[in-house]
Amino acid sequence: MSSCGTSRLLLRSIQSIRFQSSHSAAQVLPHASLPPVFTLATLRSFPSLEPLTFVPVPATVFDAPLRRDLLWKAVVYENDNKRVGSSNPPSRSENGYSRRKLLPQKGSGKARAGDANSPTRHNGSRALARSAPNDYTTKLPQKAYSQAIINALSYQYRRGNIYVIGGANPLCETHDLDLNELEILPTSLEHDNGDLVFEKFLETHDLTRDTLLFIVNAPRAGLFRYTEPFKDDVNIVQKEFVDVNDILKARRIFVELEALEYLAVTHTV
Amino acid sequence: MISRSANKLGAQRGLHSSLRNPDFMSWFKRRQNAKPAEPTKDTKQVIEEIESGENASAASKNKMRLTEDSFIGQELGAINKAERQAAVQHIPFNKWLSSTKVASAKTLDDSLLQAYNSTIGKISISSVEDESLALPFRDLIGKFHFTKALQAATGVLVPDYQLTRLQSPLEFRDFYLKEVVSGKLAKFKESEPNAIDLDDTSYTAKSIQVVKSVTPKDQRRRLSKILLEVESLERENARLALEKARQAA
Repeated sequence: MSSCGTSRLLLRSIQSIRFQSSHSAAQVLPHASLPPVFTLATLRSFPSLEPLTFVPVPATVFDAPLRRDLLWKAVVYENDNKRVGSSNPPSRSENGYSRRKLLPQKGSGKARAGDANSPTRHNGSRALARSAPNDYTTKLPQKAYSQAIINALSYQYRRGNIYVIGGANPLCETHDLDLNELEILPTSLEHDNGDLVFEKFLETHDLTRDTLLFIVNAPRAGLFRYTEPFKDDVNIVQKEFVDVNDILKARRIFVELEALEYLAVTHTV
Repeated sequence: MISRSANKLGAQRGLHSSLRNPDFMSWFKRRQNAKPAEPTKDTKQVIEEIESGENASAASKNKMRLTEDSFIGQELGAINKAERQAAVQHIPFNKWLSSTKVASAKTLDDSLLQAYNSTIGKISISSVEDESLALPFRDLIGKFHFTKALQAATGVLVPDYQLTRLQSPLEFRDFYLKEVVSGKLAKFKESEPNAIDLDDTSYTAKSIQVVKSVTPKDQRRRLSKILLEVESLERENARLALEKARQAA
């Protein structure tokens, strides 16, 4: 009986402690509030980047806390998987020198030596030589990679480098010279001057010599064609093939709303 | 002995690597048409002729030295570039953003008031000290129209992250003052995004002096300007010295 009574007392005291702790926390942090669930992205037309409306984007997509470790892992993983592995270093059996022993085993006063193909010698062969194709691929859990993609997007968003292009539920009308997708058209049917339009876009927004990334929802023939003179600085990637390297290396990112939705849905862990 | 004589022979032999000339008959023609050689003059006579300027022949006067400096035309690359630049300027483009960026607090205040009055202000206000500017936006639609008008007038795109965080027109004003009007945006360098920029206003103590950093581009420009001036002065001095010598003679 007594043991049952003590246990009940103990339970009550624990409950009271829990109650106190939860209530005292509320008193210590009077302005405590839940973190915001959404961030805003301005939906713009292209190429003038005129705002058309705001769209809410989940904070988990555009305002995820920076995780350098994940970004590092993802970049290493991507770069490992890009390696072709075509090197073909000669092993000591393939190296061209003779199998003759260079020195007698004893009596020369020098260290023991085998033949000239030894990997320890100058112009010798390669230790643990491999023959192409060499596989350098590494693995990364899908969840970690997805989180890295989202993290890279969040990083660029916080730096103000992401522009979302689209025209869903606009508050303003799209201008006649603009489009709601990442596409470039000539100003008239007679003149094939799309490259001039793109150059004008670069000049207007002070983007010349910046590395630009265009994430498109579907193949955009005009964009591909007219950005050809600037191909060193312009990277056009379809939404399925975006990688962390692309996102981190870009100075400015232009992403179509549908492509952003795809990335958010595919990579939300 | 044999080897020594062979060496001698080798030393005398000339090596000819030029192409064989099939038109060797032209040699005779050239010899026939060749001008008679001028008789050799005495050195003193030559010097006198040079000093008096008599020996400047018509041929040497008309001959133009083809150096880079004597090129008076326009380079093809420059012409193409100028043509392209003109074509780009005339391309029709949706100019919703002001081409001049806001540079002073007064212009910013004017733009802010105009944007506020034209979009969300029910009652027109005339000063940035008005309390209604400190109130948070009532809805996102109003915020959108205000921010668009403000960006269009100031010529500066506000990052979406800041658009989310800034809650009232006055906060936007503070953002512009801190990031744009202060010159922070103009000084921003992509290669060194977190660089610390110090100037005389950073420290109040008299014992601290901040020396302004000089960019390599400015250094080069200044050096080339100095070198040009030196060159022109030297040329002028040489000309004066020559004239003086002539007058003395």
